[in-house]
Amino acid sequence: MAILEVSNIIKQYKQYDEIITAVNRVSLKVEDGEFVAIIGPSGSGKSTLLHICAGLDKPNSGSVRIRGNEITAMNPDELARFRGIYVGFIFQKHNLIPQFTALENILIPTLMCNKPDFSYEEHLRKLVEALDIGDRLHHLPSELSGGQQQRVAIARALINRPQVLFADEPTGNLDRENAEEVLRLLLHTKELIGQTLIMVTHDMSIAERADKIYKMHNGELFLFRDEHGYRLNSYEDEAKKSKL
Amino acid sequence: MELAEFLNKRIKHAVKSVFFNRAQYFCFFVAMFVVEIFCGLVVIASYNSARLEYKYVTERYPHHLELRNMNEDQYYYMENDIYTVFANQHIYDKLKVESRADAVTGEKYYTYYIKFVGDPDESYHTFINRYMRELNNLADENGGKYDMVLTPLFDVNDRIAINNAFGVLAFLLVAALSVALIMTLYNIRINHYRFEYGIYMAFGADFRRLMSVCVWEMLVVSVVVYLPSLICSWLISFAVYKLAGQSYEYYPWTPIIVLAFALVVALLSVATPVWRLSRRTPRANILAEDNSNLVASPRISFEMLTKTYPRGYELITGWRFRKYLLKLFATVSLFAAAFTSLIYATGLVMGVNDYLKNQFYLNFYDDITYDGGTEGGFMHEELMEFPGVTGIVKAANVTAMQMSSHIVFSNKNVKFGVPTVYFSDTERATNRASYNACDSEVIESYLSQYEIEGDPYSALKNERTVIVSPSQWNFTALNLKPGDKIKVAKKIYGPALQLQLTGHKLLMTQLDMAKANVYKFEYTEYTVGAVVKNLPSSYNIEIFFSPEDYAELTGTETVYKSIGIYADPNLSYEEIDALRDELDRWGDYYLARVSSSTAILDRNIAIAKRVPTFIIAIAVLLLAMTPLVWFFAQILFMFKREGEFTVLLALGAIMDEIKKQCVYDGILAAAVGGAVNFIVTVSANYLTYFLANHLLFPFMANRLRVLFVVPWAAVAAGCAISILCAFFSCVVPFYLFKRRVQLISVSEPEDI
Repeated sequence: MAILEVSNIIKQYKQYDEIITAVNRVSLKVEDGEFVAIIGPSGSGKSTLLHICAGLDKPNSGSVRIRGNEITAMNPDELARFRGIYVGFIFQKHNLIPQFTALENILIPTLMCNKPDFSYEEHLRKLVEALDIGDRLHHLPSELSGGQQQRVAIARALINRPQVLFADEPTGNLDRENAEEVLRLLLHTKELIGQTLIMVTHDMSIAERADKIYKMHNGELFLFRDEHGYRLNSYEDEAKKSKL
Repeated sequence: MELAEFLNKRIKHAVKSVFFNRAQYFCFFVAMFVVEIFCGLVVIASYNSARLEYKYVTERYPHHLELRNMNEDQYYYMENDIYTVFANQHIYDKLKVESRADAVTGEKYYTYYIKFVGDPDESYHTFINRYMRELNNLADENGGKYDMVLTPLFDVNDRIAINNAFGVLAFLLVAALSVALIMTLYNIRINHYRFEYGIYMAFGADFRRLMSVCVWEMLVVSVVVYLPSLICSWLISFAVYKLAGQSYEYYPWTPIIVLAFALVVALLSVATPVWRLSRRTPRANILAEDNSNLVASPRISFEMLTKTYPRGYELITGWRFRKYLLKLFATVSLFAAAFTSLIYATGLVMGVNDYLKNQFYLNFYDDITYDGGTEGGFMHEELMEFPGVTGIVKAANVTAMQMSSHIVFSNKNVKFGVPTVYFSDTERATNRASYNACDSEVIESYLSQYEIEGDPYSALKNERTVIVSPSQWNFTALNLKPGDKIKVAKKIYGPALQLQLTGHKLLMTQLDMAKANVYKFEYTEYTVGAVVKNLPSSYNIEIFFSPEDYAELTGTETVYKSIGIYADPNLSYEEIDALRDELDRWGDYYLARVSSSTAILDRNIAIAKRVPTFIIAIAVLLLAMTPLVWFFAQILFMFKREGEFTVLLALGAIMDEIKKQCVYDGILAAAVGGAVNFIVTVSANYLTYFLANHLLFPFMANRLRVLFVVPWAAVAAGCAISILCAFFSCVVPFYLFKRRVQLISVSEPEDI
């Protein structure tokens, strides 16, 4: 069953008199529980696509469905509530709120959204244990290292047990060792919660661990490697076959 | 338990947010402090105004009704009141009885002072039903001197209700100012800190939740400043009343009202900015960390200037950030404008308080008329000799409509948009006019209070010359100047129209009938000798004729059956009563009935309320907010620009170059800010003048008209503060930046 269905998304920006198409007629289907990686050069539209899929941005046209709900047709308040319940997001720059401790940052989603019949205490304990941040919980973000900040950001994204987790280059600012560690944690928590993970990354070694890899180029999305390991040689060839 | 947990979470979150960003929230603390003082002052002032109104009225008039100058029959009828004496149907208390002997006949007259028992309205109606018929029957011929007067105590509740209505109006005005102030600051804050709210939105915060976050933060601010603001509002109001020698009472509900007010202001102030924020996508909010939301594109700017980007970095900041700066200039100018408007309004309130009103009226009966005039009328001389009498005003007038008349004037004299009736190709007409008799006394005691163009005495010296106040509803309706001509119509014959026509419809019908020779008018041309510029006006243009011209036009001799007497406003109540006794005795000789008004009491109450002082206090506090808005906005703005400065330093710029840029920005901001401030404040003053003069005063009981005057001192103060703030708010953040850079250089040398 497809948990995320994206069809014909277009996102354009006006820069002075010029129209820039960041995402051009992109369609995508992600099955429940899949791990999908999106790769591509800088400025190809990966992050924009991820933000649109997570409901953090609005496309100019096209639709996005999560669990069959068309989020592009929702009003801002409905969409916010929907995000709070079903969607988690890890930002590239961590985006922790500086005045709150690590623990308070992790708990922000619980404060912002009333997920029915949900008790986070046990889940929090597991997350903290899995992410190994137990001794840093009462520290401010400025007192944490980059890797620790990213773990806190991951915990924040997962605290509400979202069904879909979007991660925008979560390892982009980390060294190899920390990047590996973060990926391990993401996959571990993915298994723990049984969620779908859609990740934008530059790092091919991380993308290789995904079930499917898509590549973005000039705002267009191509299947780069399918779940059977079939690899494409060029965008042009595959554009004819696999552009969805 | 859940509620406690909920409150604990929200309050903890808000407290952390506010105190972590305390430097950023500093201005909210100050603003909320001032806003709560505003509220406290208005509540205390309203309460004390109502209290003083009641105190002054009850001290002066402990009774509801005066039965003045009853003859002996009426007196004994009241003394032997069968309802009270025999039926025990007690509806009033007799507080006192005064008697006096007629100065001519020696007959005794009595004045009864009555206080109703129970509901005054009900008792009064019962009183009328029971006693009025018999009292009238027992009165002397034509009513004699007997008079029944309801005192201000009777409608003291109405007076208090009006007082409270003004209090509510002031409260709403202050609420609007407070919301504007906090909303402005909140807009600035949200504009710079959208990132944080973007994160909240990304994790599920809808509008309601964002509101909850923001309102809880503002509540923390409100509660922190609550006690100090209460103490300050108490101290200020206490000082205002005590320094003026007035009694003072603290309204016990003030703390609760101030708290509720602060909560409502917090709620209303954050609602709009948060709503706008919540309509944006989380991504747009998260990415708006830099100043990109404030920048007008430099490329477009340079294209407009036909320059290539970047040519010289200096002097362009003001242009690059013009969107932000113009918004800031406009916002702070509004506060300065509110300040000058309040100062102007203070002048208006003082003008209303000082406006001369007649303390006594004399109505002549039988064939006696006031012979007054400065041309040797002995009544005038005698009345003016009474201690405390400062002036006498008399009036003999008739409206044009009453005598089926109208005035005709040239087309070119009509101001655009003023309704008139077509008379001929070159002339228009109106019957919205009033004809007044005028002699030198009228000019001296009445018209001389106003601004007059031309020589008013020309109306007395020259034949067919008039004084005109060409205004309606305080608007100038006709552009008349001394030397212009007007024609006044006198009906020679024609039927009284039975149609229910008034105003211009009536005039048009009369003019049509004149064409059919059913009506006949005789027109007399008059020269305008003088124009009164600021005479209060309602429907009618006022025209003043010499007594001879007036008699010729109206066909009646110029007689003054009633006059008004101005008394020295500083008279004590005992002196007023003594003057009243003197006038009563004088009236005995000249068959004039004396009645008195509450002019001096009203003036004393108005002065006791200290409204102008409170308005000034609020205006000054409001002006004190201007630097706060400037520095808050500019410090946040410059803080965001520090990245840009750091890059410039890294690229080889020296600190002095950045300083030069900030100084240029300051000079530019000061010049533009000062100019915007001047335009906005003067415009706001004119708006206040327009609203008061044309939409408020003409409809008040004692009409008043004011000329437009710019309070230059207040405008200059507002502009000076704006110019200084504009300059220093550009320069001070630079020094803060410089200090931070130096501190970093000293403390972390290894990072450089």
